[in-house]
Amino acid sequence: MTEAMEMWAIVGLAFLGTVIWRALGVAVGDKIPPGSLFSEWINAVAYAMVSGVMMMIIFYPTGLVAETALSWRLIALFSALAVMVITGKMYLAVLAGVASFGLALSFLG
Amino acid sequence: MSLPSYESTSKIKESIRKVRWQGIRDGSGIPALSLFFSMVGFSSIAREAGFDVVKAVTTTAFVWGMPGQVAAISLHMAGASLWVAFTAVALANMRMLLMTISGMEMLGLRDRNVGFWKKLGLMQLLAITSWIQLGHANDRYSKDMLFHYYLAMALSIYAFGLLGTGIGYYVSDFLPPNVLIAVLVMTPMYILLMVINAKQMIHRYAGICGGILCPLAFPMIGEWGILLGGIIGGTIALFLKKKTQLMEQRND
Repeated sequence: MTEAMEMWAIVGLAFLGTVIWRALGVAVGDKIPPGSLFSEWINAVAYAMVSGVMMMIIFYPTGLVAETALSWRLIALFSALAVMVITGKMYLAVLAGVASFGLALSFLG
Repeated sequence: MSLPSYESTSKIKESIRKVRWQGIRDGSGIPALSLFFSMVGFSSIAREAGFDVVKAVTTTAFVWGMPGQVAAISLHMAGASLWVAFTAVALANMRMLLMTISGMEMLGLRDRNVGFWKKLGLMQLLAITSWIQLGHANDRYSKDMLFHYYLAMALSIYAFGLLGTGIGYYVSDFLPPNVLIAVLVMTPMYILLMVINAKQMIHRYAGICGGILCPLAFPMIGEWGILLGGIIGGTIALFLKKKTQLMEQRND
């Protein structure tokens, strides 16, 4: 298999590895009564998993973010949380998080 | 049965137009920016792995799930077999199953006269960002209006994601590394803040439990930690909700 073909195979398999879950979700979702206990549980697990995936990016990042210290990433997260609690404004909170992370990178890196 | 008057039809059309605009506005703010920069980051990894811009954009368009995209590219770089890459992507994007079920319920797709493939097409637009945004708008609109809102919002985010991949392929080298790294944390921060601000308390509990359990389980069982942490976290949250409801009933 040539390099280009192998890359296309990876793209195809990545699509397949994702679309099976979506397709299964559509098939199963059609059978679950809305508002049932099971549906409530599914939603709760989805929130827990999404939150878990995001915390994994903070704790075990890949790529460029992996080159930064965990303490800086946590500072960014807590700055965003603090601004969110104080101001209640999402834009300001995200800005505070990104800015504090950028400052840590520039001056502590 | 009387037909709806011209006036009521035009009022409905006007409402749909307003809801769509709101969807575009909500989808084009922080969600779009965070997805755009995440995809700039993905594109720089894809280029490093030897992908051309067409393959990078195709990956984003068809997979539309950042952890799976990164897993596929990283494993290709590491020389892993195709089977290993497939399994890793499937594991990394397993949450799509639950998000799709949840999204279907929010949009009322179960009771809509829509075929399987059309539903799948609609759910292909669902990513963490659009799902969490949908959850926030869930109480704001009727199911019909929410459907229009979702289409506009999710398509806006999707467009920004594709744009980020395409542009990022060429510009990631020109961006100062610190700026690129700083904006890459925008997505996790935004999503976590949205979870903390979830309308229902059970979802906040679930977010906190999952956010603590998944990183704890990861060093021991790898990607399975997300599944296990999610299931335990979600179950604890549901238990807490039921217990609170029971206590409230007793107090009444």
